[in-house]
Amino acid sequence: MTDPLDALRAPVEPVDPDPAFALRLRERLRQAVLNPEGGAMTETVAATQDLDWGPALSPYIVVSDARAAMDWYVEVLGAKRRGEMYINEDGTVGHAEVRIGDAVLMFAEASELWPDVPVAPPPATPSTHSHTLHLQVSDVDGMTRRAAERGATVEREPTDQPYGRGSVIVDPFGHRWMLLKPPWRTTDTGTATSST
Amino acid sequence: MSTQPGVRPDPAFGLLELYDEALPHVYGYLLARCGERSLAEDLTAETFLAAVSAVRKPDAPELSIGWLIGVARHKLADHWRRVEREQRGLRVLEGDPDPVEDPWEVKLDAIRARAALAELGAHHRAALTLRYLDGLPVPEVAAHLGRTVHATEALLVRARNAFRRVYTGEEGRP
Repeated sequence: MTDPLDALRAPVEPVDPDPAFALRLRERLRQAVLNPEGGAMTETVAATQDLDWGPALSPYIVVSDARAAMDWYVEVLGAKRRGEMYINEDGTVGHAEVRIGDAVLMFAEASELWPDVPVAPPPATPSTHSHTLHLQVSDVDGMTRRAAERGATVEREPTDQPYGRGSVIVDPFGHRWMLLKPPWRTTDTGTATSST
Repeated sequence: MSTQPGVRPDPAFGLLELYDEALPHVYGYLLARCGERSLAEDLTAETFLAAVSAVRKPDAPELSIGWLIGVARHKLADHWRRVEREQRGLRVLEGDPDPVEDPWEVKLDAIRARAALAELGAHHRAALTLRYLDGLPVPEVAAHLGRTVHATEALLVRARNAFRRVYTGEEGRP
């Protein structure tokens, strides 16, 4: 017996929607693609780490000048550029990232294109910080000195502590870093080393 | 700002490029199945926005209109499940033994058939649309509806019976 309902088969026939709707949706889509926080992201954290992608947790910071920050992190912290910067339509940097040792640091500039995204770079000379970027390095003294020469504020000069030799700097973009060489570390493997 | 992939191009950008070409297909697919412009617009928007995150998954298939229609089909099935939950209190319980279907030999009139389909409950309409309008095999219908194959076969028999009652005028308009 043939099934009479087979006659209902309906191949996809394109229909042009209301042009106003098409325009509105295009804008929503553009926002969702360029600015995922504004879209409906319902993804859960991947249970397994995608090693090509990067570590499970990476700092994503906002800076006032991402191009200058890129140069600074590469030249002073020995960071390696990772991928291409994403440039917003207004010329601001929507995304940039570097590899430092086995970590990934992501950064971006705030843009007036996304007034609803509540992020902002730190003030030029912040009085307090909500967080510190803790970086293992092989040469605390050398990196602290180079950072100071390149405009960082040295909050705490290198000192020996039970947990290693460390210093605290605030980079020219207002982000606070703790540079530490753990006491047990005798080789340079896996730590950030300056390229200068 | 969540992650824009730095080491490979963001596949979501392909969505923006495909948008103009794909929009009439996705909208046309949904409009023909839900028959209501505003609902078709809502589901079209849901489809494209869901595709942004779906296409970024590591195992996402190649971006294509066919794939977007698949996303639209999921959104349509989700919609009917929501409606079904709302209607559940109103309809007859389905906990009875598997229904029996009489053979039915008829050549359907497409316009009347669409009208009859539109009068069915969401669960019946969903099952018949996926099975017949989209031509999916029963296991895929079951997957979309979140039911077992056996339960879906029984649902399809009930849905066909309900459709037949409406189509042949045994049941008046609600």
